[in-house]
Amino acid sequence: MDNLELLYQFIIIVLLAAGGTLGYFLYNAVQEISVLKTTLNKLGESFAELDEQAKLIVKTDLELNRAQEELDKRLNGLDALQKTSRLITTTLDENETFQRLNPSLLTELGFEKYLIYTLDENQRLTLRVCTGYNTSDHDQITAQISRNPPILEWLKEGNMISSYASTPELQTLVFEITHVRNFVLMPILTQDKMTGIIFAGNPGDAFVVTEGDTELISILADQIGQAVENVRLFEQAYRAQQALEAKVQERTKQLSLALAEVQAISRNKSEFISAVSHELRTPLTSIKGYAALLIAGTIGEIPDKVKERLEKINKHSDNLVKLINDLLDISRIEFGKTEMKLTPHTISPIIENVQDLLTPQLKDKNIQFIKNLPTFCPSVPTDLSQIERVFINLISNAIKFTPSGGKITVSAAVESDKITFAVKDTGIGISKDDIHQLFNEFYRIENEINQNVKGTGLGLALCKKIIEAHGGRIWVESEPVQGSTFSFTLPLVVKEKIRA
Amino acid sequence: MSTYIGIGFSKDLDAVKASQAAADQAKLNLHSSNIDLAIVLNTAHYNPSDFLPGLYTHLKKPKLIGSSTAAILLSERIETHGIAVLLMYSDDIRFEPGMVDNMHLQDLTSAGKQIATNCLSDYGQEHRKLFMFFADGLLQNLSYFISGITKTFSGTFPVIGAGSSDDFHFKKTHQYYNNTILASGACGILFGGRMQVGSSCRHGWRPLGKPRIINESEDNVIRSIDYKPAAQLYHEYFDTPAETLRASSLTHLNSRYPLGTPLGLSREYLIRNIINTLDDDSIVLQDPIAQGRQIHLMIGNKESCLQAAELAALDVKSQMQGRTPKLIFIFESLARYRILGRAANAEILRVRQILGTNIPIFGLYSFGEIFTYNSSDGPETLLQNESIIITAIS
Repeated sequence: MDNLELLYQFIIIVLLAAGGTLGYFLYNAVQEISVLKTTLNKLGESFAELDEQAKLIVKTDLELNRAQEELDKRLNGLDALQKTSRLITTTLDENETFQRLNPSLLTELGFEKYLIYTLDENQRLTLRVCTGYNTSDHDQITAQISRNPPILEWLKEGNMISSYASTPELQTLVFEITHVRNFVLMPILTQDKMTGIIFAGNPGDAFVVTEGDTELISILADQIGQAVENVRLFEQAYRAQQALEAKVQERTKQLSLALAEVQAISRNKSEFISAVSHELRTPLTSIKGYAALLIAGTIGEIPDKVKERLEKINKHSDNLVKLINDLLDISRIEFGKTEMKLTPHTISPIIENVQDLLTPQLKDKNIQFIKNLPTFCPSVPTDLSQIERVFINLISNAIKFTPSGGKITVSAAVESDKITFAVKDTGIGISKDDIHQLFNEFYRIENEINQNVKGTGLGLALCKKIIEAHGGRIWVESEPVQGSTFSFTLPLVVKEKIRA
Repeated sequence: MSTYIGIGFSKDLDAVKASQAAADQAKLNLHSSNIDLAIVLNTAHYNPSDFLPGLYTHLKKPKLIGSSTAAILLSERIETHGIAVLLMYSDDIRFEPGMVDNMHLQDLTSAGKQIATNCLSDYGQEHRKLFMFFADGLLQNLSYFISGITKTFSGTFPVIGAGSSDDFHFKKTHQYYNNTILASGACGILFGGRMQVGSSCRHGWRPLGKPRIINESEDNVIRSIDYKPAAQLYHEYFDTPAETLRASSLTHLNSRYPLGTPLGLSREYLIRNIINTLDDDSIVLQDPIAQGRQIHLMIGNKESCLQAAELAALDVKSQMQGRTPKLIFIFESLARYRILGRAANAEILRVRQILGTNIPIFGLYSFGEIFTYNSSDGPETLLQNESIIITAIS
């Protein structure tokens, strides 16, 4: 009870004692005031309590808002990072990578100023992206960062500098250069080596950097680092491929020159053989003619011993003529001087003719000759005389290398576009080393039979030329003692005029 | 008799290309070769001197007003980088633009009178329906400017406005009048003729804690609240030293916890942002609250903001009396954009769901929203903070 109230009560008591109505009214009024004061005090206390609760609400609300803002920021940032990732990983051009980091995309990460640098081999910074700075500003900033070892060393160690977590000293260093208080300065690392720097900043105080911001910029740095590394790896691979291609081209050129040289030598050789063969054939014809005259006794009777020698001269001359003819044929086919006159022929009669021709040799060695031809064998476009030479060569060889009592099988298989012939024997076979050279000119296998039987080494080479001139292919399959199979194909349709 | 509306937008990094691409898109959407009015909005990334003269010529010199902003509101999206152009042509609506330049150098009431007079000079006798303007949002005490406008118009039609913004830098905003870039100016359009207007302003903030009384203030500077330095109010609630508040946090805090004073006898509150604190812990508001007024710390959240937008849209719908709007203007506080974050698009979606999903929306984020409230004493045009103004015309 305060002094004023005591004074009121004293006056009221005096007035009541005086017996006045005024005193009674005054007494009631004071009582009401007292009640109102009590209510007012209670109301004040309630307000104070309400305010305390409000403060609690504000604090909770503030925390919630901060969390919500951070979440929003991260979601927006992740959206933006997804977009940047899609953009920068779909190009393999380093300049294009940085061009795609456009300001509207970068600002979605929550910063409005960006400087993105790459570091070259000489540790020089090259500005690749600039947002929010004019040319003179960013030139100055670039120069100052380049001349600031503490900042560069710190970044090279893989550390970032940010207004969120770095020491005041480092923050001040960056602020003095960029004049931005809210920032993240992040190294771009590839394989633990710094290849660039990202600076992201906000000049005002409205956007304070948080842990989430530093994480977003860190992801952006990783994305850029990865993209740049991919581009550089691609460029390395591309350059290596280019170098390889250049080498291959150079090598191909060298080989082409060598081939041309070999072809020229081969041509010279063939021309030489052709010329020599022509020159040899003329005197050989005379020798053979004179020998025949002498043998026939046109000039006069000659002794038997001389006749015998003359017959040998005649026989060897025949061999020499055959050799020269074969050489000339090969030469002609090689130079395209012999045109294959392809007309449809049934193969069976050709083989029968050859069989008739070689029957004495077959009988001499008691070799069984088997024809295994399809019931329906189509006509094959062939040069009859040349194909006969092929069959004669192959079957003669088979007889030569097949022991007495052996077997020779001639077969054919028809496919849609070609016919394949095979001459199979039960002879002595051919070693792998010889197979590869068998179709070369003058190549003769070194074996007992060849030592006893004379040959030119041109037969199979001639066969190969003839078959290839027909548009076919010839090959041999053989193993020692197991016999040999010489196969060749002939096309069933003439695609174009085939010239040897 | 019809009204044609075309909106175009471009985010090309080159200002000239962006403005012309937006203009071409708007012309395409306009479906008319005539243009009565062009409204241009650009984010702070673009320098208007780079694009405005060319754009004005490109559009063949129509009546043009415009503003810088932190973000542009469109029907399908909110764009934080780009230039938007709205073109209108109408046989029914009359448009008369006006402007005032260098407001910081003159009496704001006179400036308000000047822009209104400017609009009326060639307007004629057509029935006035709406005055819409953009003013430099960095100017303080805009209520004097507003009073100059309303005194000159002396009508009962709504006045809506937006403080041009620059994305939280509070450094420089722009307003455009034809091909002129105004310095600390305002530009506006007086609409009239055969048109229906529905407009509403809401904010969604509620009082928190006990009411306080402003003991001492001078214009937009509040010196003491409940006989304590004004900034102490925030210090008490947030338990933060006054120096810290002054340094950085208050701008951030006050967008979430602004001050509010009751509007007449209604349960509505007039919201005020704090734009600065002084060394003596006085606080500076964008616009005055008179000495002796009761104030509260206000609180809101995303949902209350969204609900406020919904209520504003419903209010507009009822004012349209069954007519389908042809165009919706939205002027919304930039602070709300920060608070809503990813929900900002949801807010626009809710508005569209109420007023019609096919109706074009054209709007900006502002530093201060100006709206005419109908009170028992008649219409009163006031500057609000942290609010959304939705205006539909047909």
